[in-house]
Amino acid sequence: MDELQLLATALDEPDQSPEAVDQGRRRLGNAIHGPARSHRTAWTAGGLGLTAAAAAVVVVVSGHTGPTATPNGPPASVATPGARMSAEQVLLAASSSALATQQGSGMYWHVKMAYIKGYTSDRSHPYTIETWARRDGRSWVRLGSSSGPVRNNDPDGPYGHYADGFDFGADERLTLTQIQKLPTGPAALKARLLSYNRGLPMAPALEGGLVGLLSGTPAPPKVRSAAFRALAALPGVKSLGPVSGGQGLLLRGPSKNMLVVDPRTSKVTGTIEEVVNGRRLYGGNATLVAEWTNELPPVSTPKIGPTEKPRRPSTR
Amino acid sequence: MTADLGRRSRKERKVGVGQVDDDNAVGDAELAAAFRRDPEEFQAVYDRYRRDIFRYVAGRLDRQDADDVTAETFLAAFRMLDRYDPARGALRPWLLGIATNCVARHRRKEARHYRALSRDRPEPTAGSHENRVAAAVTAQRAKPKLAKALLGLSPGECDVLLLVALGQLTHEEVAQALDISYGTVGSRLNRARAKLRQVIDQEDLHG
Repeated sequence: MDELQLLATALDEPDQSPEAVDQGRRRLGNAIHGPARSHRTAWTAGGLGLTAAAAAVVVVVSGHTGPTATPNGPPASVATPGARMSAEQVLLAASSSALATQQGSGMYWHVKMAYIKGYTSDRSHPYTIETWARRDGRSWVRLGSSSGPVRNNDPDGPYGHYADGFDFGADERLTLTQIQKLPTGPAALKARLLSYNRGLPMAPALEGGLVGLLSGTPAPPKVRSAAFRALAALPGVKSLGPVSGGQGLLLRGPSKNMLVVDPRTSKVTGTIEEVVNGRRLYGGNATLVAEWTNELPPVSTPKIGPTEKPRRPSTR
Repeated sequence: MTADLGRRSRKERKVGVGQVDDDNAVGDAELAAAFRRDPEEFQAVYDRYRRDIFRYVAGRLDRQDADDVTAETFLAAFRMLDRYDPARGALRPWLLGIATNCVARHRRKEARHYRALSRDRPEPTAGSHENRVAAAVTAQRAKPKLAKALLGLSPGECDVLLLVALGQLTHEEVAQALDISYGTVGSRLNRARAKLRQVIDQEDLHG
């Protein structure tokens, strides 16, 4: 053989583990149709047949903490827990509660979302994506489960970027200051969110923008309140009655956007079935955590293999 | 399945010899048309070429980094989909070019990987005399020397050499992948091969 064949044989490696193959496939899948910010697609619709499954998702994965209401408690207009409220009642109640909720404090905005792909994943162990966005915009992500590595999620970093609560549209990443200065009137807020989602038709852009803001961003209380009022003014929002975590709402549109709103705490989790070009891509997702925290788990550094000794790196 | 088609044709290629592989030419154009219509179809590109990309990257980085860079390659390719033109070449060279850029961002890790390999003791020989096993044994014995030689190559020489040896690209495809001239491919490859030959001897080549 010649020296090239010798080299090829010497450097030949067994193929990747099935886990690594699958992980790569999932990362690509997320980039194509998942949370990576440049590919946020239009919201989806469907019949009420999804409701049971979607509610099951929320039931299985709930365990979230959220903004806590002040000791003065929710406004009197909130119905007793478990009673059925109209969609408008739910949203207006949440709009008041939002004003009363403390924003929380911490160094990092922590979001954890669970993804269920209808036919492939185990609903009791959903695929999770967790992000931590520091106040200065630096970002970290953990994919798959709580035992995975925490990696750099900076938008200009080497690993691609997963939306972390500072991303507001296809290519709009706001600073924390800009988020805190979002409009506090429903009409102005709607206009701003539409401007961040110009690539989408109006209805999905609005609904997606409002729900995204409420479920996963550190928008301040007055902005959240305005977002609820904007949602309350949308036509065709249906109440699904009490579900785990609050009241279920179904937004109109060609896609199936189900929200769970807790009218007492104004906490919002979403369950979405995304459809692109008529083909369903996701089973659903739910926001498990969206809060300020001071804790960032240890960030992963590359492993050193058994034959390597740590050495001062030299240039080649 | 298109993925199987890709694998079968890879086994038949000879390393280092300038064979043109048209097996996937029609397949690539179809794939490109499909993912232009529907981005979800890009998964088929991952299925078909993941192994080839990993084989190339795993020859340059340790396994964990190779897993990462393989995934990064497809993510980067997906973000650059509109820059792939089937008329200018096949998908594999394009993807290997992207992989090379990803590896370039990990030059220190690559150097560390080769330094580790160059310090390894050659493994004891196996008992079998079968040709295929002998070639592998011979190659394993030569591995530390080869790794040391790779450390002496310039980045450009290393890229060209490994795209040919591990990526199994022709000179034309290397030129496409790295966006350099055909002549530059030849001269870099010649220099790289000469440096390799300085460290290996007849015994390494013929067992």
